[in-house]
Amino acid sequence: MGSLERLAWLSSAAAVASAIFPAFGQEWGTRPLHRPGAVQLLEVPVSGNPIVPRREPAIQNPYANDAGAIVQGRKLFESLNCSGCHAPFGGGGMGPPLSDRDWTYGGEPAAIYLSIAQGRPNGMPAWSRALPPQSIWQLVTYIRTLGGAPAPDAVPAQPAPNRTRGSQR
Amino acid sequence: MIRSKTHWPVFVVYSGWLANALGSDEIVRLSQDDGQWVMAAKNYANTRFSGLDQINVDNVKQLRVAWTFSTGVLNGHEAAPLVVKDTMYLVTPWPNILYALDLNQAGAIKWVYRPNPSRAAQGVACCDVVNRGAAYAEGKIFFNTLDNHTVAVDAATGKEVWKTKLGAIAKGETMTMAPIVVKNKVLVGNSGGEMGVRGWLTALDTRTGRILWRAYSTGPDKDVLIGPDFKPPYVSGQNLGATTWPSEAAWQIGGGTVWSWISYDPEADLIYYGTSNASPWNAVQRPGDNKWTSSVFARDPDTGMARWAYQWNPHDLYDYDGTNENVLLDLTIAGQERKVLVHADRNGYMYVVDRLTGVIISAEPFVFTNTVKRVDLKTGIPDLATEKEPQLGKFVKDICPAPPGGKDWQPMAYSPGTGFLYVPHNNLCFDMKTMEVGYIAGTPYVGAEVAMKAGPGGNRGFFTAWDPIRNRKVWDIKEDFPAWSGALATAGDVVFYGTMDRWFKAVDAKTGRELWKFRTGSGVIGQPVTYRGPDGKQYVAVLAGVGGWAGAVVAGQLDPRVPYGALGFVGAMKDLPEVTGGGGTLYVFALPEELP
Repeated sequence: MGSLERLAWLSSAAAVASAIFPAFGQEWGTRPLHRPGAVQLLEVPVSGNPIVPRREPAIQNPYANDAGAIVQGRKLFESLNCSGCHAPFGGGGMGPPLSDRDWTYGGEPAAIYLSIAQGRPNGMPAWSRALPPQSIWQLVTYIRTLGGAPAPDAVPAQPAPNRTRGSQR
Repeated sequence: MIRSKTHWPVFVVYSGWLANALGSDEIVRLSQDDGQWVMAAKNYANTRFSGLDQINVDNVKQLRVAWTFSTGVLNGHEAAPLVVKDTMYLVTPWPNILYALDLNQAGAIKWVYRPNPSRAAQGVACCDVVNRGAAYAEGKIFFNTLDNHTVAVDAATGKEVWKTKLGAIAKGETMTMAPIVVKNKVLVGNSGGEMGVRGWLTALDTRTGRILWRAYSTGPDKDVLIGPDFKPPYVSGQNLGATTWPSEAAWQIGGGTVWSWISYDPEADLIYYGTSNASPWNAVQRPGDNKWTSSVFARDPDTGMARWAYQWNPHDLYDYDGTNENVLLDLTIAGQERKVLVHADRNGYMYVVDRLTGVIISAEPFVFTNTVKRVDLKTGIPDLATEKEPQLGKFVKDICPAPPGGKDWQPMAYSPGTGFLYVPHNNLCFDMKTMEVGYIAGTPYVGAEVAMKAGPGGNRGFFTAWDPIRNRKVWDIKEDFPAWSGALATAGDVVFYGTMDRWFKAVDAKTGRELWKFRTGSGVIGQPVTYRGPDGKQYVAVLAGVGGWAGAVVAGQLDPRVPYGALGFVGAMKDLPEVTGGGGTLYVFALPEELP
């Protein structure tokens, strides 16, 4: 995909996202929104094995456990067709499941945030230009309730599983 | 064409009239040579019948492995191996590796061609990253890559001759079907009916890869390649591919993709193929018949112009693609010689259609259905059961058949010896809730929550022998899982197919009695083929490697506890990971040395 074509696609996706979910971009949570800084994001480990032990605390989801964000995240999950690939309740399909504990690119909130924002090479679209950070965090908040979070940080919508997948897609 | 029971030995004699089909006579000749297998469906008629009879009902129980080959790929292997002279050609699921194996040396690798398709293509393939096979003609192997390229590779050297890009994954397009070659043209279509892709069939020049024509399934007549010669049997009017939709925006993203089988009648000089479901699945968003989705087209291969079309499922409600194969037969029906195509639709009906006019001769259910009560032979319209109509925001329960239909892509075979079709198929029902969905290019455009389950009786599949003249089942074999492999019929009166729970089976063509079975490494969803090896022996070959839509729970390592996974198929397949893992392996079988 050329860069012009890509831009056109992204802006049309954003336009469609606004059209089908007109209020997206608004803030529903009760807490102030923290937009993670570029430097912080660059330091989010994907490998799960950072060479330099981190002293700073991991980036926190500003909406962690926020019931309103879970509701909004679920709406976004459906209206942006996340559920088309990852299936309702995150069982997986064209995209990997989000309801088990195997995370190809990390299951911590900041890692999920980056997967949504940047996209991933096996077909996950990059949403950073189509969605504002608060919408991505709302999605993260909802996804973390699907059962795949190593330690629940929100009220689970499904019983927490123990299943892991053998290999990665 | 293959003749009916009483005439079949005659068909070789008839090959003379095929010479008028320029460029296709070589392929007809090759497809009649049972030493080879040059296209996925064996021949233009799509019968998957071989005249070889060295392996027969008496000795098949002694069949054993001659050699095997690992493809190194874990996803669903739906392809048919090709055999050209002393070489076998295999195309794998993504990353679509093409292997040439030496039949003189028990499958030693001659060469490997790697097209290196885009990784991201995997993320827009609806139903695992499958490929259904290649085609041989003019010294070249033709196949499609998941990222929308058609490739021609020199059959002798493995060198790329040409590679043409035909679609865009950014729009959700992929390509999974096996091409066929007709009159120096490679015919290929796109996949993506779950992504709001606009379907098309395209002809490429076998020598250069240049696009010669493209026929869309939806839109105005000029795009659908409809002109004055178009005579659909049941409808009239212009631009039906546009006027049966709510808007231009709707048919632009309306599906009708062409991802499965193409047949060709050299005498009539017409190709036949089906189109997919309409997009999105939520039918409320597309009032109208949505022509020409879930339909069959007859076209002139030179120009692409349509001769007739018939819509199996107008205004498709249940993802009933019309893409299943059309087997071309010459049958004596009610005392009359008829040139027909036989089609087992997802809606559960077996259609016998006059292939010159598109008029339906008969349509009878071959599996339990409560969505279509009957097909009106005067109007061609299926009579739908209103109580099973989907409802926005509310689950409608126990709709049968489920979206993969009474039968999906898994191709049936026809034996002119018995006069029966051998149909691998499904027995699935489902619950469905529809909802409004927005179109975002490159993401699913479905608008439905689906959970599938076993149909009546609890078995999820059947392998059925069907008499297309008497319109009735002759025998069937219950299979625990959907019978998702192709079928192979042979003159030895042995019929072969594979199962998702790791059996490759041989059954008696007349009675369905099981004669032999072999435990494969992974479930079988590939298309079995047979050929005469350089040593003169008959071999049977099949790819194992579970996956595809039915096997996505294994191939994609999906969560078996969530029934909505893989567009709802996981609901019916949650126990599949307990009986098979993935892994592509070719098995080649033969009788032991001292036999026959």
